[in-house]
Amino acid sequence: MPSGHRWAPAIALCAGVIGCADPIDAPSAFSGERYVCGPEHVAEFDALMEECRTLRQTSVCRGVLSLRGSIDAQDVTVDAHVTSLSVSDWPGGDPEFARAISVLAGSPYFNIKLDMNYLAVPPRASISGELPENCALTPTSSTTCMLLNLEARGGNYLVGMIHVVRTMELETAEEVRTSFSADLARGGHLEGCFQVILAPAL
Amino acid sequence: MIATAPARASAQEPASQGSAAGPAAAAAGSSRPVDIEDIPLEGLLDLNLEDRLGKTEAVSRANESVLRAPASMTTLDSTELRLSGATNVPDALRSVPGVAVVRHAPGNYVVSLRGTGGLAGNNVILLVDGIPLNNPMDGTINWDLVPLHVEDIERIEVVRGPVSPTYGANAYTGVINIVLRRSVGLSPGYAARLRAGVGTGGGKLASGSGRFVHVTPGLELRGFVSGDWDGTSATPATAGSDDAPLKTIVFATQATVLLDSLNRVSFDFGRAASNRSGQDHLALLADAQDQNLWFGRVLYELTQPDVFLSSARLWAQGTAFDIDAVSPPSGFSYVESEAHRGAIGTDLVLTLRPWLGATLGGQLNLERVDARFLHPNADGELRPSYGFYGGLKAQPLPVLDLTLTVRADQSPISSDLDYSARASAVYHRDTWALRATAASAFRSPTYVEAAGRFVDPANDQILLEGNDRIQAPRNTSLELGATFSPEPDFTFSGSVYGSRLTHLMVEDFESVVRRTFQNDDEAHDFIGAELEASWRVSDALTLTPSFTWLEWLSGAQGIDTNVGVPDQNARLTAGLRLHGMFGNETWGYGASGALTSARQYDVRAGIPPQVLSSELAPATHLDATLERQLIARPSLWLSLRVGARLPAGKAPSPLPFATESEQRAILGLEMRRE
Repeated sequence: MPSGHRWAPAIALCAGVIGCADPIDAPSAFSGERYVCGPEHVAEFDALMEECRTLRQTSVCRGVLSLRGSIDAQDVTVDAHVTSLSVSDWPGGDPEFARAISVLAGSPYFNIKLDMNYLAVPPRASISGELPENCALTPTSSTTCMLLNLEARGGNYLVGMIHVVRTMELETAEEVRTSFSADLARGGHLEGCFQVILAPAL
Repeated sequence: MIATAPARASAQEPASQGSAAGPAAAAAGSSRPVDIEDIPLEGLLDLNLEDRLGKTEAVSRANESVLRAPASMTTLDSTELRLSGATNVPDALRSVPGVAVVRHAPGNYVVSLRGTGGLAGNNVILLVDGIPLNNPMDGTINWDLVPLHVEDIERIEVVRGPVSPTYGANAYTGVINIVLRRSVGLSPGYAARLRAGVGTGGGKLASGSGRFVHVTPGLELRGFVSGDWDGTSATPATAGSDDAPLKTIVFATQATVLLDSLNRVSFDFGRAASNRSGQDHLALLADAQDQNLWFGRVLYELTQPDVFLSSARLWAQGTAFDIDAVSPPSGFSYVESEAHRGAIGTDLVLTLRPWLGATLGGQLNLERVDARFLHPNADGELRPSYGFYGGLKAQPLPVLDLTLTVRADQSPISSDLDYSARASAVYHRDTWALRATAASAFRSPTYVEAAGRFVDPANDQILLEGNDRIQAPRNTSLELGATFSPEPDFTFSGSVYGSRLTHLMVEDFESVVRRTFQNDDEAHDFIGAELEASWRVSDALTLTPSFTWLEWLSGAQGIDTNVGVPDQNARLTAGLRLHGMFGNETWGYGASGALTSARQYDVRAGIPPQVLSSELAPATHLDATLERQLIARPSLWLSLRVGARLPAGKAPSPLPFATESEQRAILGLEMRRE
């Protein structure tokens, strides 16, 4: 028998061990999240909204939020149900945009709170454009019109959103859909959308 | 005692390279050992320095003289250990140069070497007769699971510096090898002891332990058992949890069949179980947890000096760990986790020429970790890995030894093939030796670091997650050492070294977006010096002072790595061991202690994370023993052990045991036949 064949079982064993030794694949939980905004994801988004409407029978669901981008130098993708919603008066600036909205949702790592001022007051059915740079209520202070707050046990990350371009549409009398794109004041960029059900569950 | 593996057979054997093999086998010894402690002072004149320092297998996995070994090493022999007053291995190591010891909780210690002091205890390998006992899950050492009492240890060898070329990944700062007690004098030999004591605060402790050693021409049997209940270090009130005394029960057995003068087979088996607080830098709550360890090995050895195949070893070994709890934990803990590892391997020593030898070896490993805090892709997966090494040892001149060892290991985590290497030159004369060593070694990322997923049970959000792209931390070191013995009763050794730690782990708790592990891009450079002397003042007194100095050249640059942070390492440590027998050896006494300079922890750790701000003021650790023989036959001894931990100050901390002062006194009876 040629000498090389004597080594075949050992080589096969070594190759088997080496071949079986794939690195651990442990992607972040963001890899299991989806970005469901945009015309190509309409079906997915609508399915999540329908799921939310069903959930409202037994638990709190006020809509769907999805976003993607870079926050604190990390790539983020989120799709989640909105667990809390508030719409309030915002007395600053143009009376045609005298509302503010606050949306709360959860992700695998943190809770997300989006605050947006400069909302159109009904009966305007839709509004699109860039938010002003300053939404402060007094002439001597400054604050962005949109704020992102991430909360997790042991810390939080609050950042103003600048260069915000948003589109808001009344889907129905009770549901408002908003899509946005913005830079983060501390670096990074986000785009996303949320559709919320204005009426609380019975 | 400085690097004094008991002279035993080494006092009679010539210092030949390539004889015997492997830490376990040669540690068993084929001839009746003679402890250098038993040699009268005037008898030391008959031994040269090399004989007095003895032999070791801990540095190169081949029997070699300590004087000519290519690394710094300290040996604590059985007499030192018995008379040191230490009741566990970490406390016995406090006076060893280059070693840093911090206690997180009763039975839960972090022991680190050369600048890697910090919160993580996975930077050094613990061997028991050559069997590694680090937990595969996170690489840490459960010091409460050492399977025998400290007084049943033949010797502890502390090898400092990158030793991965010999032992593979994770020995990148050194190894601590515990050698089981060998027979001394009479056979069968045995010891049985009962101890009871109290500590400050009124806590009580009790322990029972013993050993049996029987050596015949064809068979060697060893058995060790120990049980402890220690309520002296119950959780202090600041931890906000119920008392969690330390309870352990351990045993180890070894049977060696001497087939003939060249061949032997050994069987090792052991079990250790403990119940203690699970508090550490990630699990901040002091809930009690059960820890279990099983280990076993079959080892075949062939020893035939001066033949081409001077020695050969074939071995198969396995370890199994699990952590569990009777009651559900109140917060994050490591309970409900299991880790299993099996390995087969071989080590060969070849004599190529009378002046040239080679070592070859390799091993295949298989391991599996089950834990609820692992990524689903890694949980319960069987993961193979392997390692192989080769080395050359040349003696071009009778006074000059040159060694080169290179090793490659595939990580079971990343599947990367990482390399380690060591080159050394030792120039030795009758009363002194000089050593230069350059080495580079690494630590494989752990399952926690690469694939951890710690979920908050309150809201299912991930509090800390592994990073499967993490790189292996590396230690590259250059060292100069010297051993000097101007008189037979005095030996001095010292080393200076420079080290660079790269790719250290950062537990990035700062980012809210995703807390994970990452590598520090900055190198951590430091230099150090270790000095140790052994002075046999008389047959009744041996002094071993030591001194360690650490100076950081660069450190954390705004990122807190979990080791290698200057503030977390004591800059200065002074140690002292002394012991002796008097009154016709019916009295024994000893003490060991260390004074460490201040350390500080100011890191964000824990799950969920909180700031750990702890100042370890300059601290004194002192243990002492006094024993008296009551009856000669059978030999019955009464002993008093005292211990004191005296930090100069205290700050409240989520890890309160690191700053707690404590004193204890223990009375004991021991019967032994040796």
